[in-house]
Amino acid sequence: MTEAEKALSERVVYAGEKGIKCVPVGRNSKAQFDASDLEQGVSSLEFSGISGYEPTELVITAGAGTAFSEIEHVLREGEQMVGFEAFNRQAATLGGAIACGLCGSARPFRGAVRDFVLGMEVMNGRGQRLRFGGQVIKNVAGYDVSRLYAGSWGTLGIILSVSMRVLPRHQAQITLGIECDIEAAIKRLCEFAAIPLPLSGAAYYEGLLRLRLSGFETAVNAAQRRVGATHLSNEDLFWSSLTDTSHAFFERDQTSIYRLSLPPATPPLDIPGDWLIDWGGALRWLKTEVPQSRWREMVAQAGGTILPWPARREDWLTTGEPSLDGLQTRLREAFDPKDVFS
Amino acid sequence: MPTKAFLAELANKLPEEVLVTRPEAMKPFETDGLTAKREMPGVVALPRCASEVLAILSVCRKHQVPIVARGAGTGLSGGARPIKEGLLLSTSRMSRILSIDPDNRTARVEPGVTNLAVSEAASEHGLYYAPDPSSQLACSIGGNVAENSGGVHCLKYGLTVHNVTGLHVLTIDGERLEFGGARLDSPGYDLLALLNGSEGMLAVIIEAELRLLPIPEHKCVMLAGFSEVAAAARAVSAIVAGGIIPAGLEMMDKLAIHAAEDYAHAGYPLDVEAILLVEIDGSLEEVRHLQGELTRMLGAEGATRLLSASDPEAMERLWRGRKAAFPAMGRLAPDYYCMDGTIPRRKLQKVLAEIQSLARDFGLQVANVFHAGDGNLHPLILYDAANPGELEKAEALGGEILKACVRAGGTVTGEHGVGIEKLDQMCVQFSSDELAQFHALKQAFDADSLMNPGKAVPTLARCAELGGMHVHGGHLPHPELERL
Repeated sequence: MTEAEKALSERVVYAGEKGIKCVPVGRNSKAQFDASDLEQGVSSLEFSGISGYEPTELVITAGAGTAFSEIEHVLREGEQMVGFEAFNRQAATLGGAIACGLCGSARPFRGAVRDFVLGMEVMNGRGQRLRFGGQVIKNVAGYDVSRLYAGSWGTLGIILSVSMRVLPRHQAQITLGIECDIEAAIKRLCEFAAIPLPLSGAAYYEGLLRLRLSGFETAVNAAQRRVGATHLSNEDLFWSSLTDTSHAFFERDQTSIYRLSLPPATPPLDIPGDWLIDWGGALRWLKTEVPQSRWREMVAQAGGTILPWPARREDWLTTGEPSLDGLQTRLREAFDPKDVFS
Repeated sequence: MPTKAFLAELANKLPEEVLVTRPEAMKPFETDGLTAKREMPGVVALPRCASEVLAILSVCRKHQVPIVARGAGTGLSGGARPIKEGLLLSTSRMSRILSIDPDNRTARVEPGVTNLAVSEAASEHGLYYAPDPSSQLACSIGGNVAENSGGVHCLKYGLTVHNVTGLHVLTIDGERLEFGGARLDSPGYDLLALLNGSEGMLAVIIEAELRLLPIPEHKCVMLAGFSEVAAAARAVSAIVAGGIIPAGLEMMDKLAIHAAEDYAHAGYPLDVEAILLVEIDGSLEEVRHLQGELTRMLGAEGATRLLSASDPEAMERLWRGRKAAFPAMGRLAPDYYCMDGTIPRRKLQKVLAEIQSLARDFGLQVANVFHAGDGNLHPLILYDAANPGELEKAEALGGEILKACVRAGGTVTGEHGVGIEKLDQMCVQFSSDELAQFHALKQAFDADSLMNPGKAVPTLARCAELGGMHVHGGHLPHPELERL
């Protein structure tokens, strides 16, 4: 272990003995999801820096405290990019982006945050530095613990470094617009998903279906001709405002906002309110005054889940199924028997 | 033999046709694809539905009898080898495709459905299931999930873990747990990811929901011959660094090329040291563009031969040699031992040279046919089991090859799993703290360690003993453990 790792290990062990909590914190860019007392924060910033990047490998390895923007900058120089759009990426760290597992509109087309995780170094609740996975794309040695840490919100320990699969940077990216109502939008989304288009985003709001196409210029141009929709300009801000939930839709007023995760082809749900559809139909934001109790069952029937927005760390982690929550508790104990991180 | 009380209770809870106890009828279950390792189970169960699986689990738990879950038995690492006096649970009769949902592009299937059957059923909707392990005609989805199977096309389309959207499982405690579904995320830890590749150590899969993709509209297969292995390895890196992720990127060395060509007559050039097979797919425009780029790149890296095929028959011909490579080895030697290490692509040349040097030291031949795009090596060690000691020699060479993969920054298994085969190599790849964490994780699912015990993760004692035999540079592995 390095000196910094030893110091962290001692702190974790001490915390376990004294019943003190440790909350992994990077640059605190996701404070809206977490009401934790930052005095209990253990910083990942000491574990910063890119330790390995080989464009031929499509892999980057960096300390958890590395600024996400630095990773993106370095990848851009190698004509590559991160495969997911991280929440609040200008302010986030790599470790935080992975630990929260939130991602933007490319999710259904390129994969989830965990899909890009190849390996990790972590410190568990016993103060042990552990390495799981690796730097290669195919690796089935041992349980896939590093993917388990993605989206675990720091409750299984602190991430020290991450090896992440990256993608070639697209040559071209455009956004097309189709004016239609919400029923037609869902139908069109199903049609487009069934043919091989280079989609990297599909969202609907206020009568406009937006399709983002990314890839080789020839492929993007061919897809545009095929879809036959209007080319919209300056749409980058729109897509990043979905990733960061900074779009005007998310401005707080008297109504409540909910995040619904649904099978993408689910027909529009009959719940009065304002709808914003992302992830090709699989992520639906609802702003409504109607209490959740009146439509919860409708979402469950459709195979969906509901999170209040902004969701707290515990909302992301609680399944509401007693047997699953029980298993999760046992798992947490396996990594952190003294509840240092949870 | 298992206890009479255990067998009696099983017989009481389950219809007669679900249980197999006659030794001659259990014989086909004594091994999986790693045929050198055999063990007769105490009893074989062939449940037809989840409620029968549940009954089996509850009786096993009550009598503390270990269970090995098995799909089609095509695994190559002994993960489904029975445990003596234990119960072997085959999911082969749970083989229904429950539904195909073309709008959400998912398929719900029972675990015993074969991999290829999913794509066949989805094809009427213009969809397919992307992971395609070479055994896809026979291997089951449950087994694919347990092993996190890969295949030729996972460079672009991912492994099983990237293509399973939901799982229903039964734990040894009899709890039915559901992870994921047709939606893209769910609250809670990502246990769906954890179950992929867990080698039957955590739970029994009773249903899977799979992501389906639109069938590519156009494809093209290119073959490039190189007069040096090093040049072929460089070309692999150049393609990836050049921004192209082919659907498949395979490499064969000279020994493999000649064996495959003799066997399958695929038209492979015989005057080269290595070939690359590159498959690209997409829209017509994209495929044409990539074809042009690849022709330029492969030429720049020194390809001496270049063939290209776009019509189905010609593409099939180019793939035929690659697909026949393993059976073709049977003409070179009575037996072969297939390894499965993965390394960073940039180390291909170095590790391939190391493998040949090790092969010379051991006096055995090694052919290389592998997924170059993923850096996933499949060295085939040729031997003759009839010669006393040669199997052991092949296994020892295999072990050294895997250590070379770990030294190069890779892993001991890319897609075949650890099973019983690579337990010793796991001691090289993981520290005792890491192995202990794996064991603790299993305990959270299976407190009595009844699910496939002894597989996939070595005990610390085993590693300590092994470490005692291989002390490197005076550094004793796992010094914290007692040695008795």
